[in-house]
Amino acid sequence: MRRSRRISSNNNRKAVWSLAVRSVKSSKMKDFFVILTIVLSVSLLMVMSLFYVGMNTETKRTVARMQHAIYYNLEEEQLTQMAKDERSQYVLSMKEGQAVEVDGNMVKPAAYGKEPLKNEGIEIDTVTPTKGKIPEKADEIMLSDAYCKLAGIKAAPGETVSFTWLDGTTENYRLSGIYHTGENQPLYTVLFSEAYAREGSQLKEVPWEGIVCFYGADEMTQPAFEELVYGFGDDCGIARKDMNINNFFLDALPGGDMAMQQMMLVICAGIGLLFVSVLVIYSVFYLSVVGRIRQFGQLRTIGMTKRQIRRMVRIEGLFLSALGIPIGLLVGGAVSYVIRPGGWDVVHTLIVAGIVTMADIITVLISVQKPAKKAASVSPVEAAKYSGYTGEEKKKKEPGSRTIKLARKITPTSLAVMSNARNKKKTVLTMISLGIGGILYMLAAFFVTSTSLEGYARQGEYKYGEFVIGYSYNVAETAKQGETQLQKEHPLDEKLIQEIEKTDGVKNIHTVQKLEVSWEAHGTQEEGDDNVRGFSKRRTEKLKDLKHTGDFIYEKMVEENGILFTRGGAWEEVYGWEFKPGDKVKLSWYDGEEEREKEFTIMGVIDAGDFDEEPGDTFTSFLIPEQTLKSMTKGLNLNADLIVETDQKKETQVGKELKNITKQYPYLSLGTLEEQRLIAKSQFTTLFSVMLGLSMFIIGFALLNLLNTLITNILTRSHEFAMLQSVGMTRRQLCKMLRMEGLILAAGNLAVSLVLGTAAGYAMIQIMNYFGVDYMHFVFPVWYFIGYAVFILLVPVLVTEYMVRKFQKQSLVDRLR
Amino acid sequence: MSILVTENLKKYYGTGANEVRALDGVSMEVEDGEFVAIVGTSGSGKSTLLNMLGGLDIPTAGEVTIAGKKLSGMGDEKLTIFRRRRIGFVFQNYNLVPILNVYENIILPVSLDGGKPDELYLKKIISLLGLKERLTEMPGNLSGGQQQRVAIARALASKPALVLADEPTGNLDSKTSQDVIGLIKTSSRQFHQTVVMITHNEEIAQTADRIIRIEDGKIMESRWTV
Repeated sequence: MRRSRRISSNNNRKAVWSLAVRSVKSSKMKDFFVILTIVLSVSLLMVMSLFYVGMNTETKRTVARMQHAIYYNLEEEQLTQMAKDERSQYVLSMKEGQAVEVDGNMVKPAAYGKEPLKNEGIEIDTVTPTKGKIPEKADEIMLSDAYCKLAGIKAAPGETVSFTWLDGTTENYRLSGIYHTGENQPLYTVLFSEAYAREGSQLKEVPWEGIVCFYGADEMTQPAFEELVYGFGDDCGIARKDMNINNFFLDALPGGDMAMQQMMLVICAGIGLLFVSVLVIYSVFYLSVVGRIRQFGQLRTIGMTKRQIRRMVRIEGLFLSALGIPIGLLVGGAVSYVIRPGGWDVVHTLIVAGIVTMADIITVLISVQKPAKKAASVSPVEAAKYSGYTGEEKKKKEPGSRTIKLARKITPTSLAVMSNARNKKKTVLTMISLGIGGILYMLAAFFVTSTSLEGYARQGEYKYGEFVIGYSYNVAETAKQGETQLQKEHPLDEKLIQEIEKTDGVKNIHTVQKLEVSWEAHGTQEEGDDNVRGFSKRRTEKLKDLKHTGDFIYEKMVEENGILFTRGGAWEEVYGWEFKPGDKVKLSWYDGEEEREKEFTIMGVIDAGDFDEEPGDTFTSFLIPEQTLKSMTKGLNLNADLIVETDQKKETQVGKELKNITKQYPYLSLGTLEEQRLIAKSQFTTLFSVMLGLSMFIIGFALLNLLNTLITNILTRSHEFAMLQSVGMTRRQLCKMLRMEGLILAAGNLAVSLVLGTAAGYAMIQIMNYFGVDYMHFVFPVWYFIGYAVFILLVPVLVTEYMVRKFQKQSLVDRLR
Repeated sequence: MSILVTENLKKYYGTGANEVRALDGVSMEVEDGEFVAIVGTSGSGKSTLLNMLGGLDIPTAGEVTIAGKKLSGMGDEKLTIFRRRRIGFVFQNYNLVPILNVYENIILPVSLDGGKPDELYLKKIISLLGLKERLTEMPGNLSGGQQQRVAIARALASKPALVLADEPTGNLDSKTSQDVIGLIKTSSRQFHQTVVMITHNEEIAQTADRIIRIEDGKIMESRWTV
């Protein structure tokens, strides 16, 4: 049958449309909340999607101005060869000298080539001056504003600055410019000119480094890109350990697990959000339909078909979407821009806006489908006596069972409970939809409270104490035999230990013994940057409990020159190979009298992520049986670090004392936990503020959601309340009842947030711990939860009072009609 | 003794040319135990009058006194409490609370007052209204006549001084209407309660002790039935 011939579809579209529009206009409060919900869900979806897209765009834009790889240890000829190679698009030379400790801060000389050796249409960000200009002459330098502040240097071009470098040379320079860095950096760079790189005392002997970008790299997958970088390096005769891929760039390429996980997370959160929106819009529409059942009955009486009624309710939904979605898009777009201006892109925004609009229209249509069906199913006769509640099927009394209770206790509180129980499914769904906001909030709160800045600062040696006394970096680097020479000439002996122990507040001193070694294996050679430590027979079993490969026996290791490698899984990226049991490694070291070398057999490989059992473990690469180590060093005192554990209350005071002690010995340096704390704080401040900002957004959403539910619930039941008031319910009792209804919802929300939020928080921390983040410990966010609870519980109280006051203005008689 | 007195009761809506006088100086007295029917055409002001009598609406001028208490001096809270203790309402559309069962609906005014219903008295009402078998039903499952009986039982539950009924048979068929009116009358006699009922059905009005006719917000006639 042709559609136009149906009775229900004769020329009445306009009538249905205008009825729907009038209906929308007649209930402004309902509209307000539906629109608000749509605006919220659209803007949240926009912000979330654009945040993700913007993050990628920003990363892409940033990496587009970043090197793809750095190659070290280069001759000038190699740089020239790199520039000639047609695979490279950009080559810039660079030098980095030896760092030096200046008043407790690490400072490193570095210089870039004046011009790139090759630049075929690419701009790379190196260092941009905020004041002045890039150094050109040999005596010009550029410093960071943070370092100037720290060192008390006037951050102005033209100032004269002097540095004493590791080799003892003191030179004066003129500040040509200032660049920006954050405060509390672990290392500050002093930037020189190319002229200094060629002639200056600190850089002329240093090999070159090459900053390289490749053609077509941004179109590659991660494995293809890695192959390119290593292949290019091989062709230029560069050792694998001297090739360094820019991981930031690598991660921005497709084919990584991270990108996939992030995208899944965003999609899941988006679906969750739409689900919440469905619940809210559904409940608003459902209540609104129930409140208008009689009206639908009338319309049915005068000849409106079921189909037309359904269409009318659907049009109402779409009409409100048409108002809400554009506002949501604008708000979401604006917020996204403010959060991440660097990632803003018109095309992306339009695409996201299109997807979000579609998603929300579908959400609205799904939300109003059931209410529309309900409205259409009303028969004119039923409508007249429709009360919105037909009661649950009473269970049939079984013979011998107790009689059904005649009357429940009737008080405002019990009425509230009954009211929420009248539609259990809806109440539970509302609680869940409110709870989702709560769960997200709790996750953010758990992240903040469970991240221990102290724990972060206490990674490594600070796990065992608050101060670390070791050999001065400058002195050790300049000693001919490195740290071992200092261990021989200035041992960290009992005399020093006793002197420290005498200090009031010192509880314990942990000594770390280690021997600096050079090694050669798999055709790779490393000079003196790694450490060997001894282990006792007793420790062997404990080591076997860690994740490891190889079956090592202490005695066999002593007899057959066995050695354990403790960085399992960490060297692949650096050297392109991994130690396996059975591999040979040649160690060379200074035994206090002469240089020695010996070949060892790797008998066990311990996973790096697992190896942090004793002080010193985190910076050790090899473990050797104590007995072997003793014979290697002829009884040399191998104390290299003294970790001072203090009475926490006296930490500051002990710090002062230790500073005085170490001052007497120029070859000693003092590291403090306090410095580590400052570094941790500066690293987490931004992250926490983002998390808290996000939490506020989520709380806002949860609060509006609750507000919305409460107000629409009250608005659509004004007749019911009038009925209760007419038979003697006082205003106070009514308030109490409504307050209780709201509080029950709020309590359900809090229960969901508390139970599921805590479970989610716990799971998050377990996952983080699994991935090696050991500074996160389960700490329940008591204050965050109390704050949330207060807000969530306060809302029903205030809303009820306000709403009752508002509808009391209308006379009881009017409301009864 | 007069249980209900109104003096020059007025209710005006709007001002100037738009002024509508829904009630325009109604003075009347109803004796204790009397069954009064107020009749009038649609828009004559009879519902407005009943709302004023029950304290559901506030008059523009004049005074309503029930059992010696003037309604005008009472605040909202006090008036509500007075209403649930001293006045019983029967509405045309029953106004039962959908989430409460029949029995709970009946004892609602007493429960809201924090009191306990007089079981013996309730039993009598329930039995008289034939609701014994329906007490645990939900209102939605009852017929119109049954719902109205519940509403009557509720109106009587708190032993009010005055029962106000607004077109109690408006939604019922004639057989059920007769039954309901019979029940109102019997119960009011048995429990010695005063009833003021609005109806536009002359036949039903004839069952009352007295008929008051209202037109344009004024009492046009007040006569005793035979």
